[in-house]
Amino acid sequence: MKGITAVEKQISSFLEAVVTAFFGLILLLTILLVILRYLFNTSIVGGNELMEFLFIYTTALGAAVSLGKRSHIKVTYFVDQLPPFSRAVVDTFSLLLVLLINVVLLRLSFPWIAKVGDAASPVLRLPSWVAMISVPIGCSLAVLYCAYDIYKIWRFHDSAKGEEA
Amino acid sequence: MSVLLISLLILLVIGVPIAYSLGISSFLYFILIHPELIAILPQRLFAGMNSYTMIALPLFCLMGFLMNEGGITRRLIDFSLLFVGRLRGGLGLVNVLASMIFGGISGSSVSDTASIGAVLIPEMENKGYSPEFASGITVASSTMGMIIPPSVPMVVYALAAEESVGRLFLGSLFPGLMIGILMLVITVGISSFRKFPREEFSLDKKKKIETFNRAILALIMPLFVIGSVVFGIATATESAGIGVLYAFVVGTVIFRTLKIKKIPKLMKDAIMTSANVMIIIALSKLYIWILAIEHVPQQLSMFISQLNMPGVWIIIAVNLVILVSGTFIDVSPAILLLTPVLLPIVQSFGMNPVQFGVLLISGLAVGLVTPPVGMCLNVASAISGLRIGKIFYGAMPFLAANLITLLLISFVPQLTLWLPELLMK
Amino acid sequence: EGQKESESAAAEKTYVFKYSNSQSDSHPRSQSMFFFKDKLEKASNGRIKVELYTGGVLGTEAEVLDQVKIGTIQGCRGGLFERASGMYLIYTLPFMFENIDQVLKVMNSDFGAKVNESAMENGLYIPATGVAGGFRNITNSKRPIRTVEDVRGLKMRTPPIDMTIKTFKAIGANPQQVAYTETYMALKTGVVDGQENPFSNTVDMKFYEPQRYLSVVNWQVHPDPFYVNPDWYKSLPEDLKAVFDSVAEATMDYSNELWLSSEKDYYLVLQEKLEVNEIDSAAREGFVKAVKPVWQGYVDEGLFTWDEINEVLAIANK
Ligand code: NA
Ligand code: NA
Repeated sequence: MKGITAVEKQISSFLEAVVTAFFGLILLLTILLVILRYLFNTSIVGGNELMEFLFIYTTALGAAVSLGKRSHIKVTYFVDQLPPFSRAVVDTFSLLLVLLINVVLLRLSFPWIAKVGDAASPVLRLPSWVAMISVPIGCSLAVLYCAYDIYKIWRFHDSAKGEEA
Repeated sequence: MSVLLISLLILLVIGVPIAYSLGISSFLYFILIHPELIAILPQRLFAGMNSYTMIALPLFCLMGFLMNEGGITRRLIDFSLLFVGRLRGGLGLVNVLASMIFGGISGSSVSDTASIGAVLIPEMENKGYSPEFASGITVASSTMGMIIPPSVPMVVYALAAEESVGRLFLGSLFPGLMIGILMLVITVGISSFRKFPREEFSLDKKKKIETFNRAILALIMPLFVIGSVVFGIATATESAGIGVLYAFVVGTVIFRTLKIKKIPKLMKDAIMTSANVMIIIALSKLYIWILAIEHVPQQLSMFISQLNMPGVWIIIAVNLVILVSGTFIDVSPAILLLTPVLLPIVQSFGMNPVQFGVLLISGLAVGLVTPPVGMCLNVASAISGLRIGKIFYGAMPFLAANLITLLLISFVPQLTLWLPELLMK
Repeated sequence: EGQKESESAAAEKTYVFKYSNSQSDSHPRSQSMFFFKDKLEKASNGRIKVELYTGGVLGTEAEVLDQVKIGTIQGCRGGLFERASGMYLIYTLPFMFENIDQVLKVMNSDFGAKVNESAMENGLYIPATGVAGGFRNITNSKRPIRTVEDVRGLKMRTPPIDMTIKTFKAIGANPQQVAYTETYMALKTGVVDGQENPFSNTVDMKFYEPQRYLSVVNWQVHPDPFYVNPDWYKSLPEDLKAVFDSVAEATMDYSNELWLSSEKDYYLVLQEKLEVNEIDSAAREGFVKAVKPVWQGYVDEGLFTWDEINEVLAIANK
């Protein structure tokens, strides 16, 4: 079962690399646009729009990866008071809910993109589905990460029990 | 309607991430009450992620990380020692002063606690300050990090209230500095009562100038960044980008302490932090859409006007709502949820959106250092090994500065509005 | 028997029309929609209930338009006409019209109806189209614009709209994207030299303060289509469809009236604040010549044909 963990690690570091690269591009564009404006009295048409598109992907992918790392912002005070087994049950329940909402979003994103995905962006006039598909991509990844998290909770819980016995 | 509120509370308590709690309780609302509107779900999520202004968020984070990695913390502490070290309780005063300056560089309070705390908490304990006092003063003074501009939460508020980032930055400057000054006064009082030590160090003039010069490059950064936003030279996003460039150049070329190979990791941390906040923004858009379609803000305003209470009590009640919310939920989601509901109310009592923004951020900052959910407490606890309850106990006397300032922001509009009106017409 | 029952059920059924725009309650667009709500609820004997969401509480213009398309709300007004149909861009071609009457003539003609119908392909029903205020005109801090040569080298704040950017490039300006809310400071600090907007916006945002010259070149108007979800419209019984259409048309007429008369007042304000000049027909010819490649570009993209452009010009000059 080590295989799954290794695969998850590779996928996560790949996704993080993508997200970081996109951020790097956003950063470069930001600085470049200011320099072009003041030093060369010109601009990159659609530069801001491109930054927005990239930024959307950093959120959609980054949020999914954070599920794998369990690093989302949440209130842990109450669940921290619970004994390990109850805690595992509550955590599983909340992960199932997160999985559910991502499935719902995934399912609803198809008719949504079909209906409005061809609208052109105002400057680059790219069809908006180019950015919109970040939603189903992010949600699919989120579903996988939730399933993996649940697996991890019970695997480690069982092995911990095994050691006690 | 109660479906939304009750389910959200339950989901938060059982530890569902805040972002998805908002999504799930919205989903419940649609399923139970308005199934015909459910198609809106992915659209609101996407709308929340799609924002040029919010690109400033990871950029401001990265700017703070780069300055920190470039050794800025030590320089600011040395600089502060130069001014207040020889007074009684010198390290306490240094802690507050460094946070004031650091607040002008970083956009967040958590990074302030982490970087200043890591150096000063152990040092203060060595010099005989109680661990509660050392951690308490660190977290309390770090609330200034997100009040003194630049401030990431202020950018989030600007988005929620459609206000100008420049005005908000200017509006929060005096209240932020005021908290610092009040905290310095409180520190002097406690130090003389508890006989805290002075820092003995004598520097010759040359050393003094050197210390000063080492810090000055960091000190002009906030002027640079805030100035470019205020005077319309660059957008908030662009000025954050310039800030990153500045921090990079100072760290690598001038301080020469920033290692290039560390930068990808810092970039990754900044953008992942952003993703975690942005997904909350995205799903809060959905939740807020439901509040709007149900006319909740209007109904609440109407309810309050029917109470026929004097404005003073309403504003105080709003302060309490902010403080209590800040105690339980994190800054960004609190801003996004409270703004559409509270802003129309306070506006009907004559409060300006800039004034309310500063009030909201300053109130929520207190929440970072109050249990049960306080990011700064968690960080300080990780550094000092102290339980968060004890750290809060140590922070309490200093939080008086925050509370006094909150009241002044609420009832003295000039405190927030004078500067933006002077500089931005 | 069964049919009668369903007919009487349809007669009793109430239809909810949720509508949204971004402007505040005092804006002509919102004001005309209060008129719409009042008139439609009365004319339908309460069978259509109108819920208005002004002030952008349901999202930005683009988002709200998408909401109309997916049917979570039923109507909206705002920019973004290109998303309804590329044909709307024909109204916005630079220096296409000389006065607003020409624009209204085209919008109310059979050609105008054809443009509205073309939006059906993109999932929007448009019962009527009005104008979003008066002509857009140029202010700047450098010099009065009397001929196209005077524009050369001006740093112009433009909204992120393809047509605007192309036009200002074509007439030799240097278009810069600055957010609407940041424009005042950008003008004041000289980040940009000028901006283009209808008089109303220029006054509302106090853009005249950091500017010196207003040149009335009347370079463009924006259409204001009334976007409606077609499935909702089709679900109405025939009598209500007719009621809805006539109230929608009356609303857009009322909106034009409100909006254009307010533009006149704003123009008076600006005449006091700025050095104002208008351009003569020879100078206008210079602009028209300079922007012809922009027109050609849109024809090349296949959004409309030269025949259609000429048809519009013919109706306008009738
Ligand atoms: Na700050
Ligand atoms: Na501190």
